[in-house]
Amino acid sequence: MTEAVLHSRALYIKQQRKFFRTFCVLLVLLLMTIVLGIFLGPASGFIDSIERAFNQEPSLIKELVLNIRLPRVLLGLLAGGGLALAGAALQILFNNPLADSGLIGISSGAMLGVITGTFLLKLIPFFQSFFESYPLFFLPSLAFLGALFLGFLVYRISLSHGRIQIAIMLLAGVAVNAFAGAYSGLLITLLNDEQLRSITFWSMGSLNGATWPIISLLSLLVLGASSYLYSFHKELDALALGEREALYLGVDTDKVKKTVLILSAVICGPLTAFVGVIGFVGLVVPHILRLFLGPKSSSLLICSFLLGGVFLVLSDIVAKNVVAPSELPIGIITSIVGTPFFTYLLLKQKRRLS
Amino acid sequence: MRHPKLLFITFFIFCSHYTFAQNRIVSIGGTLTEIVFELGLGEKIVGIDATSVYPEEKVKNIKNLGYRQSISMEGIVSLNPDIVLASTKLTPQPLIDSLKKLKVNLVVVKEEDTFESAKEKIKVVANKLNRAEKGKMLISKLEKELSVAKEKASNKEIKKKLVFIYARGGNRIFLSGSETAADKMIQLAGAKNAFDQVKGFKPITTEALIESNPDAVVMLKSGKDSLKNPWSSIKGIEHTTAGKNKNMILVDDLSFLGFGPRSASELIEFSKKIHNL
Repeated sequence: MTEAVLHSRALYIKQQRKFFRTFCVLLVLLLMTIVLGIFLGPASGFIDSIERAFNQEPSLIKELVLNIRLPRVLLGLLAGGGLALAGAALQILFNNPLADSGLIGISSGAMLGVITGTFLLKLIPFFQSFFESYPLFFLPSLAFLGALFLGFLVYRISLSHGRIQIAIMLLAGVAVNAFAGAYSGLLITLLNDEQLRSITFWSMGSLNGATWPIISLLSLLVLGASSYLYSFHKELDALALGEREALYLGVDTDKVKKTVLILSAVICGPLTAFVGVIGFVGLVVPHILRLFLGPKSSSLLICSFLLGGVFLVLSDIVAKNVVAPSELPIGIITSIVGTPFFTYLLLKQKRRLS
Repeated sequence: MRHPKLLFITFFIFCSHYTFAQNRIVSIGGTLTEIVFELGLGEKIVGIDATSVYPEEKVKNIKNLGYRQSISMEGIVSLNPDIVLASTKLTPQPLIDSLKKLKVNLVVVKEEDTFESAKEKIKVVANKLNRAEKGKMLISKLEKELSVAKEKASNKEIKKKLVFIYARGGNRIFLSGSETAADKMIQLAGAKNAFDQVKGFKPITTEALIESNPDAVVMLKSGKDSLKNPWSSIKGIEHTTAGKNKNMILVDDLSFLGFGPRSASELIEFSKKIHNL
């Protein structure tokens, strides 16, 4: 064996070990976060909650834990995990550290769908009766359609001679986002005061809407799409080398691009409908992990899901407790906590490089 | 007739002030519009804002200028008003400033969530529109109703706990905390706002709503109309006394929150409904 092969093998083993260690740490963190999320709420103290939950009395706190807090924690895991995983995949796909579901129009597409839905509810009685009968599916399916529509618009624009131009794709994302912003703004001026308030706060993000039916629907969509997305990790690795290189390795790059795009819409669209627009998680969680783990897709995708979930649930614990009985928009917490940490990591990286 | 010119000018000034004056009223603020109608000058209103919803049949045909930030100075000027009534609650300060610069006959009416302010509003609007007598009548009617309302107000030792749900949707519940019109009305009726520890309109976690355990939910009639089954749209309410007994008090938007001519009779109704809980 040549020295180079030996060296790359050693590097591979080192990375695998690093991944395993990170994975274990994240798993422990995940369990701790779940416990914390369940027993820490505005309604009562931590110890008090545990005591009452384990005493078999049918108390209010039991109802809180089972039907209010647990779904909320699970929604946080699904949302944080899904957004971070989709972000990681898109960053690899576009070979661009700025890519996330927001940049290529998926998030604003979902927002477009929800705002259009809210507007239609007010305007057309048919939609209202539809909403009354299927409250769980109306806005999420519109959000998904919006996400898919704008995602595909970006995809189509960037398609030239049967190939996708990444640079054009990013610019098309910018254009589509601007359009979505204008369209949403237009519809918002037509909404009444009550709808306006709910849209404004919805767009800032909250996990307060969590119920078991929502969790079951979302876990089906998010976990399903995420595992399917994970199955593309080898193709993504090849794509990370560059498009030409991936083609030489026998990867059907356009199929991969298309599938990853659709799957990201499947993950982010309905999520956005239920929890609102939560920035930062999809962008920064994969970055933080890449600094630790290196660029290998399979470990990056798995760990992104875990860390995204942990990060969002922790943020939610802060959001619902600091100003109790009110709550802060969760996006504020993710940004306030995440940005300094991310900047610290960047600075550390810079010093190491220089 | 030694000074025909002077006489003519005097006559002209006289006319412009009393004969032609205030034939075109623009009213920004639902309560102000209501007062103008109560004074019997409703048909002279040429422009209103989005909060002017009473009297329903009549305001429909008046040009609507929009809501708060969307009200434009040009929109007002294009109606060529003789007088503009502007509520401090609903008129953005930049709009007031630019109207002042244009030398529009502007009356800025201070609005607060008290019955003192209600009387003051009636007085100011009535005086500016030369209907002082009618204004005094409205005020004395309001005072009479207010004393009835005070008698009717519940004065039990244990106060009923109410929540005023302002808006739902987007997975959020907005409640009126302290320093809101709804909070004032709840207090005046002798009840307690379950969320008076928070200020203004705030989104509330489901958990906190359940823990506060309100006796009844207060909602606006218009808000309730937007969904057929309001109970299912308020998450967690089924675990509270209000939800278990389906206690809901519906109130009128403008008279409950506006502190205007009809607010005292609304307060009487409200107190009665609290009694019947």
